[in-house]
Amino acid sequence: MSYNRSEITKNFIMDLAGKIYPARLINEQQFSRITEEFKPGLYTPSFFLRMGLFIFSIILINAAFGLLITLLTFLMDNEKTIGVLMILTSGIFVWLLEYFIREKRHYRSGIDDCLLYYAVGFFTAGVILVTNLFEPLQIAFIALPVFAFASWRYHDSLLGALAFICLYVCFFLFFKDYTYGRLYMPFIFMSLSIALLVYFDALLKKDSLFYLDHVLKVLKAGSLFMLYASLNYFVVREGNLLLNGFDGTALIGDIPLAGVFLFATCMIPVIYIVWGLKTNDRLVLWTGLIILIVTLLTLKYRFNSIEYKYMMTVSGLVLVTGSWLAIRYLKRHTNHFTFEKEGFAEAEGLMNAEALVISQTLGDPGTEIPETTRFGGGSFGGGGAGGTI
Amino acid sequence: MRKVLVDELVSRELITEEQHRNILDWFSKKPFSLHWELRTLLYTGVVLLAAGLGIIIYDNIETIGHSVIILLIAVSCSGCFYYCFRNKKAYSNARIIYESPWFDYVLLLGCMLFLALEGYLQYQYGIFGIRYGLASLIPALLFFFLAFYFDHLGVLSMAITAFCSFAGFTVSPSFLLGSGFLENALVFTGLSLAVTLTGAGYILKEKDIKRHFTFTWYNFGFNIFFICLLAALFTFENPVIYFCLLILGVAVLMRYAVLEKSFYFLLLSVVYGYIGITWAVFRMDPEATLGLYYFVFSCIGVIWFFLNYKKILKLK
Repeated sequence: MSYNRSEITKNFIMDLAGKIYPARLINEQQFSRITEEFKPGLYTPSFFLRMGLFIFSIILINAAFGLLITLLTFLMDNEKTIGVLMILTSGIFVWLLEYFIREKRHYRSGIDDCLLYYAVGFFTAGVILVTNLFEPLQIAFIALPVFAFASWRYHDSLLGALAFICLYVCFFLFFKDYTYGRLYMPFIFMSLSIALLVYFDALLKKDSLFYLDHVLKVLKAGSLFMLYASLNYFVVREGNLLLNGFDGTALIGDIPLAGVFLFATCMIPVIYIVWGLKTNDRLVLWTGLIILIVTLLTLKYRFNSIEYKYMMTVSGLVLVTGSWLAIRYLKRHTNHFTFEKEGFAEAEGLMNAEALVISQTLGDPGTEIPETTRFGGGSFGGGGAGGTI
Repeated sequence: MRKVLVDELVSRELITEEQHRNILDWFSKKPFSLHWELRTLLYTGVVLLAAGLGIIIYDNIETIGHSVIILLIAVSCSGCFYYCFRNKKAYSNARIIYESPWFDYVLLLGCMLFLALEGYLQYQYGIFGIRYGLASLIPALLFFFLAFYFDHLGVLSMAITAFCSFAGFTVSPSFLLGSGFLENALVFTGLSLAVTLTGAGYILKEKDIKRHFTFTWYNFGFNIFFICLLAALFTFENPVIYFCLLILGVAVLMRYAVLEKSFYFLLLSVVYGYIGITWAVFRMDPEATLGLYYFVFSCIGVIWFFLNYKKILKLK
């Protein structure tokens, strides 16, 4: 990893302190000692400043590259030299990136994000141009290790997600050229997704990798989605038509094992939701809830006779009644689950502790703490509250 | 929660072994909150139900009849407002917090139903005739009242939007970017509207009435102000006047952003200012290479400003 690990640990410990202090698990003295000792030393601006830095870095890099091109027009006559030039430029980006991380102590400041994306993009494009490999499979094959390495080294979830997509693209493009590959594509994808899911889940459970949490969570969610998609009736049917539709082997009528796929389409969301609730895993729970909608749409696709208006009314009625009953139940019984907001969001203690944590982070005590702004919650804040100087 | 982090606290002797155990215990035993999940499900359900019923009613309009539907909307709308007035808290100039999770949404629903009712009446019976101004003034006034009375930022935004449309000004990106925008009268309407909104926000803030609304007033006000000025700058004669006004606005907003410690307004002022200045530079028709140099150095300048604005603006 490139970022200073002990500095990142400080961010996480401050976050932890913000949770355990309002719960009265440590006293005030301990809390202030922790905030003193783990005062974050990295530069992480607020969301809007980060966005501003990101946008202006993009304009700057584009203009600078434009200048470089005008200076080196005589080299621009073939792809290979352009490729070499791009690889060299990506080297400059990496050098700048490391400079900002090590010397200026930037951590997700907008500048480092931008430099990282440009470095990775230029390097990949440069390699493709130099090696003359323009087939989609070759491009995905080149991009995969670059994205994966950059995502691991610079803790970037976007690049992680792109590497994840590249992996699936590689599998798809490789197997689609074989008859058995086309036939068993859903099961190939299913096996791949299960393997990845188990792997990322194991990594997430590894205590020492806490600083990669946000990357691994994206990857785990991706694996959950892909596992569902690989067995979803609609995806399988349309994918089958796409793969086999043109060579005359398209199936007339329904796909084989239609019942199995329909069953999986209906069961996977339920399994995810139950699994999420059992293991207190919000990520799995939300994935389950989201794909539940996809399942409803798939059922509509399969059984075309149901009209949307009745489907909406009935599912709306079920949702309203179900969640209303659940809320009523949870308001009276709180054992494993609760309807209270996470932690002590409402408690005064947390607000103060949070204020302390944030003021420590930003090095400016006494700033107002932005409340979480959610629509309708009375504090429809838009953006301005978010981020104080 | 990661055990390794709690271990770190023990190893540095910041917490005791017993606290270490308690913390791990607390994390493993604390109940799992389903607050946002259930709320999301509930609202999704409400939206689906409303939409589904809406379509069913629409499909059967011949058998049901318009008056029944209007009555239905009117009754639901009054029901929402009745609920709000039943459960209201005493008015205060400060922020009022409603514990019930439903209150804000019922109020919002009531306002939307009111708009639907008004729209229906106008469409079916044309009660406002061609006095469209009146049609948007009534909800604007009602929503302003409700927003202040029940302290609701969402309703305030709706009120401001309705007020803008009363002034003949649609606050929507597609309209602002469309060709309809660039007319003299509209630009000046927009400018006066912007000044009115910002002024209202300023006066209310100074009088200490609903200070937490200031952001919404200023957000609408300044955005409309800058967009109108940029439009004027690009199309009208005598751009120098508009350019000066733009820079003045940028300075005011930047000062406010620094005072209120708002990164959002700081970003807004820099971006609008940058667009204006860039336009001015390119009006002088520089060479292409020179233009690239301009972008390189100006962006370095802006980034440097973002990184060091505390020093530059002499903040603590």
